[in-house]
Amino acid sequence: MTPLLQVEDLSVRFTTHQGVNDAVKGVSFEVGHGEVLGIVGESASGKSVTAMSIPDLLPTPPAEIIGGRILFDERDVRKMSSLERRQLRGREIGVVFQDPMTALNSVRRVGVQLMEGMRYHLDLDRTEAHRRAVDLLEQVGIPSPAERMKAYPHELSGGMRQRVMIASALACSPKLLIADEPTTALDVTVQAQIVDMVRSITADRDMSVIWITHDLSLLSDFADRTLVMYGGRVMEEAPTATLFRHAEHPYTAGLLASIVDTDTRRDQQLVSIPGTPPIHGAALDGCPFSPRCSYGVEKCPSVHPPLERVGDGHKVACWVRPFASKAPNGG
Amino acid sequence: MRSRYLLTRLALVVPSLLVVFSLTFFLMHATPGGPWDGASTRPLPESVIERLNEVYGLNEPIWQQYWTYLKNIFTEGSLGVSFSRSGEGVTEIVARTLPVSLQLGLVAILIATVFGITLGVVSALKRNTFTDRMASLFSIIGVSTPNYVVASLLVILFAVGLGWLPTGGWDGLFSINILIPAFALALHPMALLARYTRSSMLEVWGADFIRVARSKGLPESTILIRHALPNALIPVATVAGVAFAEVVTGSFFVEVITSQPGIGRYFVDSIFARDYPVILGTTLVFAVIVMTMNLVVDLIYTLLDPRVSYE
Repeated sequence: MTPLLQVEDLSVRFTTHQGVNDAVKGVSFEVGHGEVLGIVGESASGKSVTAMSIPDLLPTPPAEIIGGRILFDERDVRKMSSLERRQLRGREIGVVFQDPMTALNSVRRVGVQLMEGMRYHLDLDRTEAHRRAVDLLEQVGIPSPAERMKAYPHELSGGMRQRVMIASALACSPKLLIADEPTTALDVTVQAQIVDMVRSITADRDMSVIWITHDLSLLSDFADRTLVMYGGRVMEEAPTATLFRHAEHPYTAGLLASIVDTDTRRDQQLVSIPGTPPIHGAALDGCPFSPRCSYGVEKCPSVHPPLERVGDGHKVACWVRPFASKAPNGG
Repeated sequence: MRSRYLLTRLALVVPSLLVVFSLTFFLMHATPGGPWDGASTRPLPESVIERLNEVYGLNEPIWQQYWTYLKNIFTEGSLGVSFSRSGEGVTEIVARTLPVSLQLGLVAILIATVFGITLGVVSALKRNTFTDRMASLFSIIGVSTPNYVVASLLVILFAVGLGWLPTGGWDGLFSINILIPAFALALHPMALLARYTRSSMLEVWGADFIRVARSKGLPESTILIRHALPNALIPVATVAGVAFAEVVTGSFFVEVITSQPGIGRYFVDSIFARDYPVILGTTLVFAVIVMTMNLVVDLIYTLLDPRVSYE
């Protein structure tokens, strides 16, 4: 079966008066039906830009997709009319944003904001939309949902608002849910609840998910596959379990080493990757991670390594691959 | 609750008016000159002035006059009698002229709101295009041109030149006579609203919830009307209140140029004539209007922004 989403060689450029910034360079990946893809990376790694270019939500200008193809359900998104793209958004692709405090319109009631997508795309009347909205609020774990419909955003907590945003993204039963760091702004305890809730709802509906985060540990038991991005490029892609066990890219290995868990001793020095990520558009032709990499060879900064298949669904873009396993599936 | 807030605000009107009244009273008496100075080209004989002062109580001590005036307002609801307009009561003058200025002002407000907000929204959406620059130019001209210039130009162009509209005169709310004075009054607040709407709209248009609305695939017009405008208009309401208070109280120049029997000219005439009762009367009317507009703006806030509540 053809994957739900195919992104091929996507490049996005930001042109501002400060200069040109290639935020995403030649990124390719796929998302299957019902599959959960995690995209992990630091700030400015291009993970959000990559995801937001799928439903055409990048601000243009300054952003511009300068190359590549985005196939959603075998249709080329970049060749769609603006009306078709609008029907894609909300109806077939739902998006949850990072900051629930600013994502809701503060002067309109929660219920109205929840219903408007359904009323527009599914052509529901007020009663039917209201009924479905109450159902949705209940599914995302909001107590007394019928009353909450009348609330204004400022009357809800951050966690509640993010639940409302998720309900709104799920409203039209989209085929793909894009979640752009939806738990970053929330308390850790609320984070876990939200992740569990999204996982169970999307699994029930066989919905595909792209979950963007800078927290690799969050993806460990949620994402089927994980894409590691750095400096606008894909560093490594693998089934999540494989990534956690046999990461081959020095950057992924660094990320995994910096995860703090309950086994970490109190007096233990926390591990970090030396150096800082490129602010934006690191003008390197080669591997963007090379300035911080301790395994680099001479050609790393000048020639970018291709994303090569090294195992079953496992791809790495590294000339050195210092952690390559010698196991039979190590390619 | 809101009704309690309203009562408190209304109760505050009385002391505020008392302050306005007192300041005006003592300031105008402290101003050199008197009501009988410029009444005619020939100075009045000393004995006549003496007699007039006696009739109008102007030779009593100033505190006495202050007290009598206040007492008359509260006991008889009378604002006194005009010195320069042989015996017409100030209350009658206000009753005759204020409705004209109010109606003119309301038409001007309507024009200013509709065109000002539209202009502001359009220039925000077409930021940095030719349309936006033209709208900005229009706003700058509108803010900086005095309304007597606007009124004169409109009369010259549309009444004298093209002959489409009468040069002036008052013929009720629904007559074409109202167009020139109303537009002349509307231009300044219109330009002001356009500028504020533009900047407020630009800010809102970049907000997260607009991107969220886009992510729902809503049409741009829905996003504009349902999401952006209600937010963008909140700060605009503040400016509008003050600008409208000015418009409703009438303008000396616009009313004189287009011969409107409004209250605006009495503000200015009464001060030159040292017509104390009319000065006090018109100032109090102005104060009441400004306070009402401020109260209206504060109440409109609660309608525009659910986060604002006066409890």
